[in-house]
Amino acid sequence: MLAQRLRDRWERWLSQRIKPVNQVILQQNRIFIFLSRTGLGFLLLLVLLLVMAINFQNNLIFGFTFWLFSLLLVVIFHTYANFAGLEIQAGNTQAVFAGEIAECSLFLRAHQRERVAIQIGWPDTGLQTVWLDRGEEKTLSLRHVADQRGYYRPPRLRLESHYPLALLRTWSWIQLDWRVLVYPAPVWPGEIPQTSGEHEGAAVSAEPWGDDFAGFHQYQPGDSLRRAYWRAYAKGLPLLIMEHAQSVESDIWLDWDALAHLGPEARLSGLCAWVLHCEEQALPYGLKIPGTVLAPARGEQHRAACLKALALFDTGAGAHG
Amino acid sequence: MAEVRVTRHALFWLFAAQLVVIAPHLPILPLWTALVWGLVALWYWKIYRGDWHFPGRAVTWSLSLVAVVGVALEYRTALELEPQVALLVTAFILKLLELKTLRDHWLLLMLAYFLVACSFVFSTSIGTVLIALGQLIILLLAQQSLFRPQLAVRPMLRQTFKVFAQSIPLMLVLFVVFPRFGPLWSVPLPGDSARTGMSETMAPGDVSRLSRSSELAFRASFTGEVPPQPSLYWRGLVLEEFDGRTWQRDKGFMRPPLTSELDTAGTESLRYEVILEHGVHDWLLAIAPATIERRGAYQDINYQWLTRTALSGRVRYEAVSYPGAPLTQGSAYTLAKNLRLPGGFNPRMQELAAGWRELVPAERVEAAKAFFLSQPFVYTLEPPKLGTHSIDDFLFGSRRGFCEHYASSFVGMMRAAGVPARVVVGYQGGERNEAGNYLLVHQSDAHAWTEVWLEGQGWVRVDPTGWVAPDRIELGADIALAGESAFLSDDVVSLRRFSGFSAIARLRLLLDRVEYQWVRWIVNFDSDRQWDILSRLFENPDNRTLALAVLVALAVPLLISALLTLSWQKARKQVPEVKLYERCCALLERRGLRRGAGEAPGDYARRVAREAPELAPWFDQVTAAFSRASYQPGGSLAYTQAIAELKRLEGESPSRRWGRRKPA
Repeated sequence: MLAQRLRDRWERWLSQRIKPVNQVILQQNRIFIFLSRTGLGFLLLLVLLLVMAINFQNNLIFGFTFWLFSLLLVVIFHTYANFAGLEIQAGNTQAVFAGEIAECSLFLRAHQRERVAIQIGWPDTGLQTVWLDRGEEKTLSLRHVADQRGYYRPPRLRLESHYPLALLRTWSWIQLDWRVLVYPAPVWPGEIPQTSGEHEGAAVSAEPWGDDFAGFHQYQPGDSLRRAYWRAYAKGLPLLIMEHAQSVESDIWLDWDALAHLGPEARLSGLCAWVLHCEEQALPYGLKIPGTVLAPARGEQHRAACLKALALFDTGAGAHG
Repeated sequence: MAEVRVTRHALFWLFAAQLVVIAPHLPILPLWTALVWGLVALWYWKIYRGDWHFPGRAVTWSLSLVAVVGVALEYRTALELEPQVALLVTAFILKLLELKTLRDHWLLLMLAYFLVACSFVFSTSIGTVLIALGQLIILLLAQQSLFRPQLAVRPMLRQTFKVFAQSIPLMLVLFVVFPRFGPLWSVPLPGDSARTGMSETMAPGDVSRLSRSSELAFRASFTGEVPPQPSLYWRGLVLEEFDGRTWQRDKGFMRPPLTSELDTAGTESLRYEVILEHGVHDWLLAIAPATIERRGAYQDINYQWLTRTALSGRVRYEAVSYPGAPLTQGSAYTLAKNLRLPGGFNPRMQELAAGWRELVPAERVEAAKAFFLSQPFVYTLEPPKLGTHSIDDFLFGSRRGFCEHYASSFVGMMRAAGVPARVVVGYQGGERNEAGNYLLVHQSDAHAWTEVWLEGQGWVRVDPTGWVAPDRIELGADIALAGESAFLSDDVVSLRRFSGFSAIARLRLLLDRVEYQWVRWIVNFDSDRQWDILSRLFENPDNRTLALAVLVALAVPLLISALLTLSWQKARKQVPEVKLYERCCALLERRGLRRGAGEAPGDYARRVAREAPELAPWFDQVTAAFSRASYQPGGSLAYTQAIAELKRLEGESPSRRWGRRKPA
C-alpha cells in the first residue's frame, strides 16, 4: 500500500522531471552513473587486495590495488563519454488497433564519437543493443503493446550502457514525444442494422433484377459474397457479382445509437468492426457518434478519418492533430 | 539462469586471459595444472560449439575433489601460500565448466585480477611487474571484448591505453599518500624456510657453504664515500657458546639492551641505508658500533642489533656507525662466559695457549698471530674433514681452512690463554656499484671473525683470517677465492662468475643499480620514506595541510582525465543546425503549421507545400540546407556552408514579410 503510493509519487516526480521531447541530446543532466553489480564485486576485490597488501606489507600489491581503483574512477569519464552527446530523435509511428503492437521508430546520431553497446528500449519489453560508428546515424524501431484506444504515449525509454569495463552502469530515462494513434479493437457486434428500410432486401437480393439492377462484374477478392449470383455459378459460369445501382448509391449509417445495448467502449469496438467490414465490402458508409458525424463515403482516407474519430472519442484529444 | 552466448572472440580473449594469468604461476604450481587447463579449455570449447553438454553437478564436484586431492598430494600442506594459490588456480580453471551466464564470465575475470596480485607475493622484481602489466592489458581487453560484436583489436587497445595512462597519476598519488601500517594479522610468506643466509650457529663448513651462493644478502648505500674494503665488517651475531665443535649464541632467554651510551666522542660517523633481502630477520647488520633507527630494533649488551619480533620480507633501515668508537660494555658475567672452554677437547691447543699466560693479554694475541704466520696455513673453501678435536686437527694437522676455522681456533686459543674472546659472524666487504654509489653484499661475502677483551680497550676486533689470507680482507672474497672451483658453485648461470669480463660486470652492475633503486623506492617504500617525501614537499606538514594536499592530489589527476575524455563536448545544448531548423519551424508554427510529433523534415516540407504553397520555395531551401548540414561531418566546409545558409534563410523568413496567416 505504502510502497504503491511511494511508487506513484516517484512516477509523478519523474514525469515532471522528464518532459516529453521530440529530440534530445544526452547531457549530464539526464545521465546517471553508478557501480554495476560487477563493479560492486570489483570493489570487494579491491578491499580484499588492500587487506592482502597490508598483511603482506607488499608495496606492489598496494600499487596494483591503487591502479585498479584509479581505473575504476577514470572509467567513469569513459562510460559517460560513450553516452553523452548521443542524439535521439523520435521518428514516425503507425496507427494500430488496441491490443496490437505499436512500432515506434527512433533516429540515433552518434556525432563525434563511436558509441559502443548502448542498450535502448522499454524495460518491460527488453532492451536492444546498438553500436554506432563515429558520425553514424541509425534508425531503430521499438515495439510496445498499445492496449488502449486514443493517443498512446509509449512509456519512458531507458538507455543503458556498461561500456567499457562493465564496472559501471550508466543509464538515462527519456520520454520521447511519440503519439501512436490507437483505434479501438474491432469486435463484431452483429449485422449492421438497416437504418431506414429504404434499401431493405435490395442489398441482399439473390436475383439480378429490380429497378436498381445495374449489371454484373466478375468476382474479385474483396467483393461481398452476399451479392454473388449463385444461380449462375451453380450452372458452371464464373462467379458473378450483381451490381445494384441503388445499393451503390445508398448509404449505410454506422450509428452509435444502433448499439444501444452495449457499453461505450464496446460500441466503439463494434463501430470499428463495421467500418472495417464496410471498407472491405467496398460499401460507402457514414459514421454517427455523439459529437461527430462523418458523411457517407469510402476509401482509405475516409476509413482513417472514421477510425480516428472512434479512437479519439471522448478522450479529449480529438480537437487537433 | 539464462545462458548467455558470448561472441567467439570474447571467449578467446577469456582463454587468453586465463593462459597469461596462469603461466607465470607455473613454477610454483604442479605441472599437471597446465595439462588440466588445456583439457578443460578444450572441453568448454566443445560445449560452446554445441557438440557437448555442460557436465552435471556430480561431474564438476568430483573433478573439484580430484583437484583438491591432487593439490594436497603435491604439497602435503594447506598452510603455505603455494598450495593456496594452486587451489585458487584450479578453481579458476574448473569454473570454465560452469561458465553459463555473463556473470560467471565476470567472476572469472575478477578472479584473474586476484591471481595477478598473488604473483607479487612471490616476487617483487621488475620482471614480475612487467609481466603483470601485460596480464593487465590482456584482462582489460578481455573485459572490453564483451562489448564488441566482432573482433576489434585496435579500438579496444586504444581504449585500454587511454584508461591505463589516465589512471597512472592517480595511482601514483595514492601510492605515496596511502598510510602504511603494520599487518592486520600475520600471514605465511613464501619460501621462508628455504633461504640461504647466516645462521645462529657456526660449525666448520657452515660459512664456506654460504660462499657457494651468489645470492644477494643486502645492499647498503652510504651518504658519503663508501669506506675502504678492509673496514667493512658487517657485524651480525656474537657466538659465545662452544661445545668443542659448534659455536652458538648465548642461550639466555633474555637479551638485555645495552645500558651504556656509545662513546662516540671524536670519532667519525658513517651514515648509510641497508636493505636486507627477502627472509625472516630477527637481527640486523651494521658496522659496529652503530645506532639504527627502526621501530622494534634495539642493541643488546653484546652490541648486536636485534628485533623484538621477527621481520619478514625485505627490511630497510638507516644506520649511523662510529667505527672508531670502542665497545666498552663487558660485565663480569659476560667475561667469565667468554673464557669457558669445554673440557677434554683439543688438548694440544690448550697446552700451547697455556704457555702464553705469563704474557700481558695484548701480547697473547700477538703470540697467536705469530703462531699462524709461522705455520703453512692455507685459506681454502674446501678444507678436509676434521675429527673430534677439531681445533687440534686444524692447527696441527690439515692447516687448511676457511674463516670459521681460523676464528674458531683463535678464540679457543685465547680462551685457553685466559683472554675473554668470542666469535662474531657477519659479512665482510662487498661489491661496489660505483655508478650507484652503493655496496652489494652477497652471501659469498659471509665471514667469521673474533673479538677479544682487552682491559682498557674493551672488545677489540681480531680477524685471524686476515693474517693468513690478507687478500680476503683487502680485496674481498671475489678475488681471494676466484681460483676456487667451489666458489659460487651453487649458481651455474651467475653473472658474477664472469666478473673477469669487464663488459659483463658493468652490465650486471647496471642492472643491479636499476633493481636497487626499484627496491629502495618502490618495493621498500614505507612510512619513513613516505614521511621523507611529504616533509620534503611541504615545509612543516601538519594534518590539515596534508589532508588538503591529498585531496588536491587526488582531484587533479581525475580532473585532467575528465578534461581529456570530455574535451570535445563544448558547452553546447544543441547542434546548431537543429536549433536553426527548429527556429524556422517555429516561424511556420506561428502561421498555424505546427510540425507534428515525429514528423520527418521531408514529410513536413511536403505538408507545408500543400497547405501553404507560397512558403514552399523558402521552406524547401531550409529543409535542404538542414539535411545537408545533418549529414556532413561537423567542422567540414560543406557543413559550415550549410549552417551559413540556414542562418541566412532564417533571417529572410517570408513570414516576416507576409504577416500572420489565420490558422487553418
